Amino acid sequence: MTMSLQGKAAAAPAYGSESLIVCDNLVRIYQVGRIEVQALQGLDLLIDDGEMLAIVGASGSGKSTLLNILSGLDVPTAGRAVVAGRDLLAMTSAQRLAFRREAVGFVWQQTARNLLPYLTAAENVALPMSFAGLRGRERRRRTGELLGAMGLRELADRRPGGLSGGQQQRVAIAVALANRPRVLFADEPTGELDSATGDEVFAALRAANTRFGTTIVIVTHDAAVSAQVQRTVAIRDGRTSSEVVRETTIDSAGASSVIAREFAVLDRAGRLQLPGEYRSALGLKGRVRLELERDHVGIWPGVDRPASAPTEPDASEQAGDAR
Amino acid sequence: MRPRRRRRPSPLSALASSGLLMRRRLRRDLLLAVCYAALLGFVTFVAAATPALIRTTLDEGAQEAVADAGYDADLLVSVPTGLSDGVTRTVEPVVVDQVADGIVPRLPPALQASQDGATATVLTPTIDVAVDGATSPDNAIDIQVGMATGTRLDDIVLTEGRLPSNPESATGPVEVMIGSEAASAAGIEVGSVLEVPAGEQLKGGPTSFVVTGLADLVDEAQASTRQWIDLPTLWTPVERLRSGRIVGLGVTVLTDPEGERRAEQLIDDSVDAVVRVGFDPESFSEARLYEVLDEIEALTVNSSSLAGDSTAQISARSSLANAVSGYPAAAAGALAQLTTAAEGVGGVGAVTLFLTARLLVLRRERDVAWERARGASLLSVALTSFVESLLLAAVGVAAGAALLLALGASSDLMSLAVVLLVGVAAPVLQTVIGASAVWRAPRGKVAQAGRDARRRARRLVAEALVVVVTVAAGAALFSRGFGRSAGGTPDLLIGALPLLVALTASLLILRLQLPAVRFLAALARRSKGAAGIVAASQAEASRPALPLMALTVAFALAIGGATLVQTIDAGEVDASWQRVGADARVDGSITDDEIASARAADGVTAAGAAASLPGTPLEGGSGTTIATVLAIDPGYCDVLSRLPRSAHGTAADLCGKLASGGSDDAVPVMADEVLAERLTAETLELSVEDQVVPIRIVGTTSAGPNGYDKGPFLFVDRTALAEASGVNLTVDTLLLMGDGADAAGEATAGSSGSTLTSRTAWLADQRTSALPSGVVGGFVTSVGALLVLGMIALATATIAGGQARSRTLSLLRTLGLPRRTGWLLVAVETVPLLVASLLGGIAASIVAVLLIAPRLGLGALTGGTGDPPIASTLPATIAAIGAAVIVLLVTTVAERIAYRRERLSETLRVGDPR
Repeated sequence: MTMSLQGKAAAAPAYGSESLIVCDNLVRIYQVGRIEVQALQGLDLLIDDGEMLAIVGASGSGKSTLLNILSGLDVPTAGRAVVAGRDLLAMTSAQRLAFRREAVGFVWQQTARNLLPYLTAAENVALPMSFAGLRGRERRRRTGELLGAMGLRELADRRPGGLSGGQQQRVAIAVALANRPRVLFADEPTGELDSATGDEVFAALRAANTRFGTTIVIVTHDAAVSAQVQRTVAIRDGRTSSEVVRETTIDSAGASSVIAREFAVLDRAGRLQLPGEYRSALGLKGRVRLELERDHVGIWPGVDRPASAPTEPDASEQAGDAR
Repeated sequence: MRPRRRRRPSPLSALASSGLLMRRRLRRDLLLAVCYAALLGFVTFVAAATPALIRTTLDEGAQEAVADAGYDADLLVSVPTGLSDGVTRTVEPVVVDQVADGIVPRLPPALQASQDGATATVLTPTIDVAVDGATSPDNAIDIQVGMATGTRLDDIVLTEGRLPSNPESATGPVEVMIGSEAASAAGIEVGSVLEVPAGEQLKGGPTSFVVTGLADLVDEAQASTRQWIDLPTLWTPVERLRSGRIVGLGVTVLTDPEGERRAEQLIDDSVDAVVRVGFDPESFSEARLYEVLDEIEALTVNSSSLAGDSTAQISARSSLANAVSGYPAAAAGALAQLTTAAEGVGGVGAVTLFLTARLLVLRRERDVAWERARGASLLSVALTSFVESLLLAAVGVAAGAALLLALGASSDLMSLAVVLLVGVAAPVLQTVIGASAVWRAPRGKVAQAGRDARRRARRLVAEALVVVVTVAAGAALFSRGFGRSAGGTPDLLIGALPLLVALTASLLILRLQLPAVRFLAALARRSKGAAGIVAASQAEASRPALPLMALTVAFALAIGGATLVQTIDAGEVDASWQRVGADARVDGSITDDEIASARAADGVTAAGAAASLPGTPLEGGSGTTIATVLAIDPGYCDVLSRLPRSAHGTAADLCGKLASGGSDDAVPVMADEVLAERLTAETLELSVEDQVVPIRIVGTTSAGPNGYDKGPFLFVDRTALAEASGVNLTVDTLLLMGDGADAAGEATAGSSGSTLTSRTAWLADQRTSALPSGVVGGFVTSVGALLVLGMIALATATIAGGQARSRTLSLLRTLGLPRRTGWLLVAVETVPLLVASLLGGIAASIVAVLLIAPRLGLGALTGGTGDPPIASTLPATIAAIGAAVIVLLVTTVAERIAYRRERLSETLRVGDPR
């Protein structure tokens, strides 16, 4: 039985209904004085429960804005954002507070910002639990468990000043995991660290992902981080542009290899960003021609370019034409 | 996907984390916390001591007023004795003591609590007697017969003879005793018989008195005590004068109750025994004084409650109300002034507490953001801040109260509670406001615009409210003044007027500051180099409202308070000239030789004599005008010319006109301005001891001893009046000027038996009397406190901007600006603040002083004849500027030293690491 395209669309489940994190046409506009800055311009993103994912992009691409929205520290201007079943646009202040306390944890780039300098590592980890009303015994047990998982049990009584940068970030991960969040967001968690220490932090994040089942979302401008996660989402100009998915395969001889495949992302509005090298290779500029085939869509350079048309169309034109 | 359900955190769990956070933060910010607690202690000390100071000042003023009133303040209860006119119920003298003993327990409560014992005196009116062999001129002696009973007999010792003893139903001479000095003056001795002239004798009454004993007081000083005050001529006889000539002697003799009864038979009326109820000034407070006055008024209307079982028709009276009549106005003035000072300090103290608390809050800003990001509720944040603030406030308030206790001063519990409340609320409110703003969901463009509009509207309403309340306080001041302080309740609205005026000025400055700063910034930007641009940007960005308000109010009240202190101080000096009239004044009968001697004394630069003829009728024109004629000598004008004009008016050419004005038979005179308005003719007549002297007014003068004599005054040359009237005018006032005035005056008073009044002593007395010294002390304390608080506000504002300045400076230094730019950054933030607040403060202080000073009753407080002129605000302003500059320098240097070792890269990367 063959269904029409319209029929397939109507029968499809709600966008992201099975995902832990749903960003649907997300828009965030800042007002700086009299100037409006569009940080997110209709971003779509789905993240499943238990994933470990990196969001990469150049400075100013909107990745930190996205992270702040998803962690409940900022509110989008329009669109839909759902994290762990909670609609971030519909929450009251109290619900947002509870969301931060219970559903998410986060790690900032600045090590000094993640921890209170006058509390020990254990006290830093235990404090969010006391905000959540956990009893003392349970707090102590959970603190020990988390610091153990981070390999810091013997440093529990040290204050941040007595810890290295990597140790501080690992304590910060433990703090973020204190109230068993569904998601942990990390904004450039290795930005202040050397590569060796950064690897330790990534190992801690992986441990959080595998041992506690916490979904990890890492924001970074460092493309090399991609190698550390299963999926990497690239953001450009406030939209998702591409994804790299890594799969580990084991051949018949038992040797494992990682296969990374990069996908372009077709958003909910049908927009697609073609990689630059593709466009260059085929001379795709301005208007292009689309043809719907049985199992794919073909794109050909346009032939009827008007004499007055710009040689380098702007983003909106490009997006419209590609549709 | 549905969210997981979790239970809500309880407040108790928030409390658990609060303890840990509070301890650790306190340890980290110990110095700042100690500073906050110390400021709280200081504010507590000032706030709690002020009501006690006000109360003590007013109470001591009341005690002083009662003490100054002396025996005039006593309650006098009259008990009729002897003959009854058929209407008045009398008692026998023998029962007077019993009646007196019963009066004290029956006094109303306030009088009862304030009384210092009662003394009964029975004394007949004067009875003329003749004594054989007496030395008194013309043998004219009059006696008053007093009754000696009870404790009085314990005070005296017989020097000769025995106590009088008059048996009942005796018919012979009444036995009496007499004081030794009086006996000697009257030529009386033991056995002398004092015959009542036949014309004075009444049927049934005695015809003579016989002296059985001579007595003296055990201690001569007791003569002036309450026990003997109503028997004035017992120990010191009084000379009877007629036209300045001694014509007889008056003495008092003592007898027993039976002798008193018989002596009263010589009087054709009842004789009032007087029960004198004295007061203990120390037992008075302001409230007690008004209670006592009310009870006395009630007793004056109806004294029957004092009689008890006695049938005597007794009546009570007291001159206490008249004696303390100056107190209510002076107390109201003192209360008003102290209230304005106290409210000013309270207002500035509260703002400074908020500013200092802000330093703590800023220090915890990042911590609170961390907590909120990790899910800490507002309750949890507030609870942590509350526990910490409560601890600091408790320590600070306890320290302030302990200091008060150590100094022996009482604390006002209400003030302690208010300071505690402000001390706790200041950090908690600011923390909660900051915590609620952090991570708050941003608003849309329209919502933000609406929010901004609402914020502007709220600010406008708040400012309008301050202006309206200020106008209302001003209107209340003009309509009802500071009012009477009965009950000691200050008018808080009017008392807050200076504070409100200063607050209004600060709001005006805040409104004017932005255009002014923008204008100056525009000029600065045109300057060569980067410093101007940096300074302009920094100045525009930094316009702290709270420090500006605190400093403006502090400057306004400090300058205003200091100006009032100066006004009072100068007013007291003026008052001393007005009340004494010279460096020293001798009152009494003074001979020309004594005047010449005083004039020639070392250190005396001028000496003026005057014979005063009070109540002299001036005939002529449309009727009779009563005036005090002052017959003066040229030295009097010499003295006047050396007095400050504000103290004695102008005496321009007074003596010159008196000397040259005579062109006919009329004696030239000068009238003061009050008298000149009343007189309708230039040629008048005045009477001196029945001698009519024609006078002619040759001019008017504003001079006149209104401070110690009662006008209106008519000045005349003493020699001219004596010649015209033929009367020898005895000088009764000698005014002395110069360093040797006191010594010369003392010598004159000693030789003439006159009274010396020293201006220096008067001034010292005035300045140490309760109300003026309390007010001046209160103002000096408040000015000091305001300066301290203002300087703390300035230092706080400077320190609060330090972190941002450090970052800016680090950035600028990486761009190549020299290190000294740091000074510039501090200067452009603080100097405009200082200048703006100084300008506002000076303007507000002038307005406030001009508004309230004329209504503060400063005249009553300084002791002068009128309100003193308001002193210049310039000295206080200069002092305030000097203090501000010093603190600014110290704060700036301290901050620059603190930031000297700043690591630029770290500051730029992660902000201020501290």
